[in-house]
Amino acid sequence: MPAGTWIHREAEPLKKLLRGEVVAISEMLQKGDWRGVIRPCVVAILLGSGCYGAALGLWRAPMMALYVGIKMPLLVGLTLLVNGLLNGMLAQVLGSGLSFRQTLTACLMSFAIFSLVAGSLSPVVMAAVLDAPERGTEISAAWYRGFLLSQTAVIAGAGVLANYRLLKLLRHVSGSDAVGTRTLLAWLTGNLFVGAQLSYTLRPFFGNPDLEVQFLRPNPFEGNFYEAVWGMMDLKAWWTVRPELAFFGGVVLMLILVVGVGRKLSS
Amino acid sequence: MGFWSTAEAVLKNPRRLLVLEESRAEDRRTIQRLLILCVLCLAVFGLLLGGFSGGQQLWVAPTKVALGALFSLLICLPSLFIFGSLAGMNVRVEQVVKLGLSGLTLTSLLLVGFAPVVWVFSQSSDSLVFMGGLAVVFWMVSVLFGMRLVRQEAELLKLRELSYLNLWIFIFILVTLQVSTAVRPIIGTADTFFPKEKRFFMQHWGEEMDTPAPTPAVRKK
Repeated sequence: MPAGTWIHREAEPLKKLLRGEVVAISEMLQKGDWRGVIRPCVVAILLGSGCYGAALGLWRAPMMALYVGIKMPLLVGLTLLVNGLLNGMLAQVLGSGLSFRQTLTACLMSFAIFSLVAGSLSPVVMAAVLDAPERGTEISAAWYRGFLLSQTAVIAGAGVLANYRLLKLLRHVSGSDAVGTRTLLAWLTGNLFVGAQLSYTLRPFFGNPDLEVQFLRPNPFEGNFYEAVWGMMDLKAWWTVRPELAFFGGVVLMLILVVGVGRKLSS
Repeated sequence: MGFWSTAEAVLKNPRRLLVLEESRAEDRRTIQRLLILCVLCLAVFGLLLGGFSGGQQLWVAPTKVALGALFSLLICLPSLFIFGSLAGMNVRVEQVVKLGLSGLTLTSLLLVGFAPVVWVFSQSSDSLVFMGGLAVVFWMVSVLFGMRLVRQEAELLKLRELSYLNLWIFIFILVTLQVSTAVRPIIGTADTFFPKEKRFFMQHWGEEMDTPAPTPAVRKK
């Protein structure tokens, strides 16, 4: 079979996903076959996330590029597998009408969109990394901060896009905007919660310049993401240094809780 | 479509570039013509910029301008395909290449239009900062017209949401500005082909503006 035909056939479902053709995608979801949907999505995740991971890791070292190029698709796959059962149950409990297999396929599609968007930017990221200032210079620290910030924006932007497409699909499949939104929020909460911990276990991704290049840190299962964040926040010091901001943050959180609970009770 | 009619289509009638050619072979021929036109025009603009310092910059500047712009487009093409698809375009890889390349070709054609103005200023000014600023302004004006063409062509390819394409245009412009810094100097002179120190373009512009303008004697030396 000519290579062009093979690529065209693999790319066609992905193009439909990217264009957000809800009717065609829901048909793909109903069929859920390996060749027509799952394989192209898996290929997109492997290539897209892999290339983007390699671009991120390249900043630290070429070997790190290889490691992160492997770990990024691994992170996506593990998040899908670990949350597969829970997401399937939530989809049924919340009345979306999706089976376990369809839930997994829908999440796979969403991760494929994320991978394609992030992967498409990997040549630009790679060029930026190769053009980075020498480490140890005054400007390199500022560049690194800017790089981290821009890559956080890329990951967040790609994630938002992927979930927006998933939301449209869920609303169409469930036949209700409210059910679609609730299902997406439930999946997102689970995926973010587990994804954050898995990314902590599979660290390093960006690669701390003061630490050696490794596939995994020597203690991957020691501690967890949330303990680390809690430790970094150092709430006591925060309260001492910026009591007015801490107070303001507390008030905002309380307001969100009150409004949320109020709306829930009134509905 | 011939070589000159391709240039005419870029300037006057983008519809001819996209709609008339349906076959992949014809797409590839158009891409070749666009590529030649683009490289020639960018080289002419580069030659004028290099003429400010003279010497080896007469070949270094055209090379850097032409290859730098094409490299910028090359690394942005995957994202043009993906962002275009997100915006609803149903396109082949060849069409995306043609889309990006036609935008860059219009940019380069307009830069050639600015060439006499650049030449007049290069003969009358000794300030690298002024010439650099002028080149950036001309580049920005031309690239905005080029990206306007990309938008028009994308609409012909059933673009639904403009925001994705605008985001890509923003990324492309940032990349071209950074690449111009990565391959510096284009207007001034240096001992090496590529710079020894890597810088972000904003930092480079800021530092260059603080540098005192060289006297004509220094420049000629």
